Amino acid sequence: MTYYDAIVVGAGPAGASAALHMAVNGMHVALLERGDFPGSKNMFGGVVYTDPTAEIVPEFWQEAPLERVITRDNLWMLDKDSAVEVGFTGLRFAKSPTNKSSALRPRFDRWLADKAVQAGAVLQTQAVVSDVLREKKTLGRGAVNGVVLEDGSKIQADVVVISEGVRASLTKKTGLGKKVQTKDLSLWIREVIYLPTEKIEDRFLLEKDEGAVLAIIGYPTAQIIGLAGVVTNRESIALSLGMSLNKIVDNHIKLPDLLTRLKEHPYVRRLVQGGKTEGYSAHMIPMGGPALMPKFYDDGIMVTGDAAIMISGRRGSDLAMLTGKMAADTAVQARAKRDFSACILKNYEIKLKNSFFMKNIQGAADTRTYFNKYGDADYLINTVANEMTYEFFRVGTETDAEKIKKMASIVKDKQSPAKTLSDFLAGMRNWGVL
Amino acid sequence: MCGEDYLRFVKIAVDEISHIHIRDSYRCNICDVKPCTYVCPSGVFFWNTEQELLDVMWRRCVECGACEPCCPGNIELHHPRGGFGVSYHA
Repeated sequence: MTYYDAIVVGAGPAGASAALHMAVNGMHVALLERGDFPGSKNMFGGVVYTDPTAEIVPEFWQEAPLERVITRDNLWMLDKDSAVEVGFTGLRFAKSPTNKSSALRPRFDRWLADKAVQAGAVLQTQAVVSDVLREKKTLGRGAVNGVVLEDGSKIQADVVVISEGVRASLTKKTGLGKKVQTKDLSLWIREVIYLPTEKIEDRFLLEKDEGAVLAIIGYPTAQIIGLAGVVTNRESIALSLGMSLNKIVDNHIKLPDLLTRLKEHPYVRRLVQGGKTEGYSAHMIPMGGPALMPKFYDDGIMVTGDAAIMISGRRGSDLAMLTGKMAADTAVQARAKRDFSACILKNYEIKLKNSFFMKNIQGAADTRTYFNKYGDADYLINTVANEMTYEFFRVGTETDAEKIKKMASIVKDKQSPAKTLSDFLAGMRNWGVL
Repeated sequence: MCGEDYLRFVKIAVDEISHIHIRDSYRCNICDVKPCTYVCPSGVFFWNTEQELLDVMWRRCVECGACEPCCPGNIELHHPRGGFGVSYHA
C-alpha cells in the first residue's frame, strides 16, 4: 500500500488548490483525478475571478492560460423580437489588476494542477475512487485514513480531502452529504462555437484581448425560469443554457431544443452566425443554500468545492479554490499537531463560517421558494419590460400624458405593479445580477 | 439540434461495460413520466415500445449526472472506469 500525508479526490479548482497548498507546506500529497488529465471532464465555469484566484496563485495572470479580460457585462431581457439590454463597460478592468477573465477549463484546470505537481504533489490520472478507507474500531465508524480505487487498490493517508464535484457520490457514501432532490440542482448545456477573433471583437464591441459576458433571460426559457449566457474566448464563444432540474422534469424540457431555439432567435442569431460548433458539454450546478450543505469535516476527512455546495450567486469555481485552500491550511495545522481528528479539522468549518462567501450564502434571499410559488414571474417581467420599452421608443402622435398612461397600462394589465416590482427583484437576485 | 446531434462534437472513449444500471426494469415499465428520456442532454435513454424496456445507450453519456436525481430511484449511476468516458480538449 502507498502512504501519503494527504489524498485529494478530484483535480478540479478545489482539489488542485488544496493539493497545491498542502504540497507547498511540505506535505506529501496524492492528487487523484478520474479523467485523462485535470480539466478533461469539465467545460464549465469559464470565468476566472482575479482577486480570489490570486489568493491561490499570486500574480497568476502572468502565466495562467487565460482567454480574454472581461470588460463588458450585459444582461438581455429577451422577448420574441426584442431585447431590453442592461450593461456595463468598464475599460479600467482591461488594465492590471483585472477583474475577471474568460478561460477554457481543460486548460486552466490542467495548469492549476501542474502548479500542485511542481510544488511536489503526486498526480494520478484515470484514478476513480470508489470508497474511503477507515481505521478499524470496535464500536462505530473509524476515522478516514485513505481511499480505495475502483480496481481495489488502496492508498493510505492521514487525511482525505474530497473535491469530487457536484455529484458528490463519495461525500454521500461517507455519510457527510445530504440526499439531494431535483429542486436542489440545475442542469446546463454548453455549446462552444468557433469564430474568428475579428468577428468576436466586432460583434461584442471589444478590442484585442478584451472580453464580454452576456446573460440572457426571457425567451426561450421565460416559462420555466431559465438562464442563458455567452462568454467570449479568444477564438470561440461559449453559449450555455440551463435551469433547475425540477423545472426540466416537470415541464418535459429538452435543453438542446431550447438552445437551438435560442440560436435561431433573430437577435441572438447575429452573435453566432457563420460560427462552427466545436464542442458540447453538460454539467450540473448545485442550487446552493446552507440547508443543502454537507457536514464539512469528520475524523480524517474534509469536503470542499461543489461537493460542499459552495455556490453563491454566479460564483462557484472561485469559492471551490478558496475552500480548497482553507482545507489545506487546516490539514497543515493538523499535521503540525499530529492530530487529524474532527476536533482539529473543525477549524476548517470555522474558516468557512468566517469567510465572506458563507456570509453571502447565508444572507442570500431564497429565490427558489419565490419562483416555485410564482412560476410565471420570469415570463411576466420579461414581457412587461419588452412591451413597455417598445412603447417608450415608438414615435407616435399622442401627447406625452397619453404615452405615459399607455405605458402604465401595460404594467397594470399584466398584474399589480407592486407584484411586478417584486418579480423583478426576485429575478435579478435569482441570477446573481443584483 | 437534439442531444444526439451534438455528440459529434464530443470526444468519448467508449467502454464496453455500462456505468449506468437500471435497478429493476419493470419499474421503468410502470413509470409514466420517464424523465430520463427527455432530461438527458445527450440522448442516452430511449423507451423501446416493442420490447417494453428502457434502452440505455451509455456510450453517449457526457457525465452530467442528471439522470440519477431525476429518476424516481431506478437509475444507479457510476463514474465510467478510469480512462473511459468524455474527455474535453481545449
